Formats: sequence, C-alpha cells, structure tokens
Amino acid sequence: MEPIAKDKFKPVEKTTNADVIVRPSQTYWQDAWRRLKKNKLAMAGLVVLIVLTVVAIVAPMFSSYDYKTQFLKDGNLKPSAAHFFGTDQFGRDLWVRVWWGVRISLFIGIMAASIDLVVGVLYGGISAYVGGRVDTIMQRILEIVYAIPLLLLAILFIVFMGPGITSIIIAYAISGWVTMARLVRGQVLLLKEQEFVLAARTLGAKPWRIIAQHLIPNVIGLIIVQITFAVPTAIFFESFLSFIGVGIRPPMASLGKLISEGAGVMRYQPHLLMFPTIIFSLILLSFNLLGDGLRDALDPKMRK
Amino acid sequence: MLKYVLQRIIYMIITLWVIVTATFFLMKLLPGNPFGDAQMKMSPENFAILKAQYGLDKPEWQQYFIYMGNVLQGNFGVSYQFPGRSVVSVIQNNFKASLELGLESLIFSIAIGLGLGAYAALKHNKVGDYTAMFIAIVGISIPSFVISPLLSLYIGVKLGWLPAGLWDGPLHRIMPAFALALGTIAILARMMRASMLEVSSLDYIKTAKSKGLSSRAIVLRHMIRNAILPVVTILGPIAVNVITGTLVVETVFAVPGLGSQFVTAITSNDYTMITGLTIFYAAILVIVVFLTDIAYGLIDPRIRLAGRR
Repeated sequence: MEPIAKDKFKPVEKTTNADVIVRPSQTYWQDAWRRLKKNKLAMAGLVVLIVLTVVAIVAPMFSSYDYKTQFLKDGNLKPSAAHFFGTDQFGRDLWVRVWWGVRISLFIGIMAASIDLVVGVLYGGISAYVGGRVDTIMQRILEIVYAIPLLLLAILFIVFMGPGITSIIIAYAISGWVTMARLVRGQVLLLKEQEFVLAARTLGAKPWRIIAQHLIPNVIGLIIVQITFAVPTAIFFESFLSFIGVGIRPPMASLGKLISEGAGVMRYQPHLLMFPTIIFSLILLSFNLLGDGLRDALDPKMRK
Repeated sequence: MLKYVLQRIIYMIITLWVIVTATFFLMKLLPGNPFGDAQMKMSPENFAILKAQYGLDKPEWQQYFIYMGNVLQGNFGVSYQFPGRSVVSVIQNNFKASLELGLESLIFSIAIGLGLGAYAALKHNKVGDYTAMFIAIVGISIPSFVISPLLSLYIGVKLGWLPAGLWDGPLHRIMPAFALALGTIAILARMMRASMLEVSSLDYIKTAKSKGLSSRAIVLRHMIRNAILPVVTILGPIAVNVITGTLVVETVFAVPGLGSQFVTAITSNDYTMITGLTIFYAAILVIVVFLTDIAYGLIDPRIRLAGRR
C-alpha cells in the first residue's frame, strides 16, 4: 500500500463562497450535442445530409442541362465527364434529374414534417393539457384515425385528386400527425403530474407560462426526434407512390419515379437504376442514423 | 375480457365504416361522370336509362346507402377497364398468391428478425451488436421498391442463381419473399433487441443466474420467451408493411397476386377496382390489428386494464 501523505488530513481552508461550481454547468443542448458528437454513425448521417442538401441546391444551378429538355440523339449514354450519371432514354441528364429528385424528396419530407409538427403537437398538447372529457373525445377520434390504413386511403386520395406534390403532401398530412400527437400527449400527461409543474402552479404561474417554461422545453427533445423520423417516412411515402405510378407528374422527376423508370430498363441501362437508388438509400439511411443518435442524445433515459 | 373484446369490435366497425364512407365520397369527388365520352353519343333518354340502371339518378344519400349495402354483401362492383371482370373475382383469383407470398415473407422475417435482435442483445455494446443493428437500420432504410429491382437484376439476371421473376416453383418464392421481408426483419430485430435488454435486467433473470442455471437455459427459457411478448404488439404495423410491400414486390417480380393487380388498376385508372381493393386491403388490416389487440390482451392482462382507462 502506498503511504498516504500527512497533509491530506489537514482541515480544508474556510471559504466564503462554499457553493461555487467548479465547472461551468452545461445546458441541456450542450449536453445533447456532446453526446451526439460521440455517436459516429449519427454524425456521419448528419454530414451526409448536409452534403446532399448542398449538392442538391447547387448542382442543378451549375449544370448546363435541366431536368426536362430532351436530347433524343444523346439517349441512354453511359456516365461520362459530360453526363456524370449518364442520360436516360430521352437524353435527359441523369445527374440533374437525380438532384432535382433529391430537392423534391427533401421538400416533401420537410413540408410533411412541418405539418406533422404543427397539427400533432397542437392536438396532442391540447388533448393532454386540457384533459378530462376533451381528452377522452380527442383520444377516441385519434384511435379511429390511427386504425385506418392511411397509405391505402392516400393512394385513393391521389388517384381521385390527381397526382402532384400538393396532393402528396395533403395525403401525407391526413395521416402523419397521428404518431406525433400520441407521443406528445403521452409526454405531456406524464409531465403534468410532476412536482415541478405542481410547484409552478402553486406559486401562481399562469397556464401559458407553465406551457412555455415547463412543458415545451421538456417535450421538445421528443418532438425533434420524431421529426427526424417523420422526414424519411414522408420521403418513403412519396417515392412509394411515385413508384407505383401515382406520384409526381412527368417530366418532373422524384427519386421514386427515377427508381421506377430505372427498374423498367435495368437489364440494359443499369446506371439509370443504380444512381437514384444509391442516393435515395443514403438519404433514408442518414435520416434514420441521425434520428437514432438524436434519440439517444436528447433522451438519455431512453437509451438502451 | 369480454368487455374489452366488445370495445375493440365496436372500434373495428367504426373504422371500417369510416373507410367505406371516405371511399364513397372520394369517388363522388371524381371530376366528370363515370360514363365518360359514351355520354356524348347517347340521346338524353338513353343516358337517363343508363343512369337509372346504375342507380345514379337517385339522390346521393340514397346512393350512399345502396353502396354501403353492396359493400356489406361483398359486392364491390365490376371493373371499369374490363367490364367482364368483377372485383370479387379478381380477389378470388389473385389473393392466393399474395397471401402465400406474405406468409412466406413473415416466416423469413420472424426467423431472421427475432434471431438478429436476440443476438444483438446478447452481444450488447460489442461488435456483434453494432453490426446487427447496422444491418437492421440499413434494412429499414432500403424500401422494398429499391431492394426488389436490385435483387432481380443482380441475383436473377446477372448471376442467374434464382429466377428473376414469375411464380412457378419453390425457387421463385425465395427472392420476392426475402425482398418483402427485409423491412420487417429490421423492425422485428430492433424491437426484439430492446425487449431483450429490458428483460435481461429484471429480477427473475438474476434469480435464474444465482440458481446456477446454464446461460443457454436462461436465454432460451427466460429471456427470449418473455421478450417476445411485446413484439406481438407490432404485428399490426408489420401487416401494413407486408401489404404495401406486396404492391411493389409483386410488380417487380411479376407475381400474379392481388398487389400487382392493384398497381395495374392504379396505372389504368380502373376506379371500381381501386376502391374495391382498397376496401378489401383496409378490412384485412383492420382485422389483423383487431386480432393483435385481442391476442395481446389475452397474453398480458395489463393491456386490457389499461384499455379501460
């Protein structure tokens, strides 16, 4: 055993500021960011998403081609310096079409997630916060909506309303908010019963103050995670619809549409299938990795 | 329990009613009239007769009840594109292949998904865990409409190991069933892993360990058995996954199932076929969810108590 130095047993010097904190305390967000940075897969997802977004914005601007002009004599070219991803049967540049597809996918994903956010959070929040009979009625409605297979109804909706970006976003909006509403309601119900909310109420805090100061900051992590998962779900949704033939109208190209067209000619022109497929899978994979990482970072209790 | 079952049945009926009603009103939204150009060539008298024949001269609320009655009797109408074929006959002819494909893919997913999830949990925070979970998240990120053409192209056409399409023998089953199973495998694996980890820290596992049971017996008899329970709850979403998946997988692999019929109907604007098949699929899903709820209520009494809240 090592000898213990005598001076270790001297009384500590008296200080006047006994409760000084040695390290600056970290906010919730700094803490979450630190945890997220440690997760290599999630960071890789974040980086890939940023790169893809930037390229999707920039690439079509700096290309001499656009997504719809046809050059029939240049049809079915293999990838080259002039056409990085080759061309399709109408001689349209696949590089530009793929990045337009990414733009559309991301746009739909973000729009859908925003609708999710507004409707889901309001519905779930009101239901849980007001409680009582309002909650019961809102929950019964939610349960019925939840049981309806909405992808099928969305197909019907788009078939009858006509394809296009707006129809897709509306169709998704009908269904997407349900999961968010359920999650937010569950969380708010849990928080409402906790002591700090009771304390705030006892001290005479107004409802809006309780919501703004206590409930929202505690639910926001959950909401962010849910949004990260809602975006790829919406992107999948659009691509699925485009693949089975009710999605974006040609000549506009979404990734699902490109994959569907590529699948039709894959035996002879595999590059038309490969490039959209790779980019599409990268987007979904990155969002899912980031979502998993965010869930671990923002809600350490959930960590398994 | 009886009260719980009754409650679920009432919900199921309301859900189905909402679906059929929504379908009816979506049909009414359709621009133009169902006879299309044929109307131009007809005299007004003939057109009135035709309308009467299809019940379109009645007020809409009456049409609604007639439609509802027909659906209840399993009469979904006749295809717009092929006037000789009724929706029900298409279901009778093609549902078998879809059902078979769905069940085969379920077998794949349950075997591989639960295995992968249990393996990941046992190797918690080791290389095996990370690998298995990475495979799972890739599985979630690659939808069936991406994996199906790729499999068909590389394994079917380039390598020639398995037939690239059609539905003739057992070999034709493997690729479509696997393509359909991939997403489900991933969902099941993640769920199973989480469930196993939760179970593994419970007291009865400690008891089993301190009794000196072999780790094999602990895993098989105590952990996996208890961890599988919550997995039952996601059978509903899985059924959704499988059904939407069949639409794509059947189209890519040329499987003569209901899914490919549905896609054909969509691309050819065969409205009665689309609505009929949608209601059919929706009914299947609602019934699966109902059965799942009941099964879970039977297994785990806490659920039915929670249902009363």
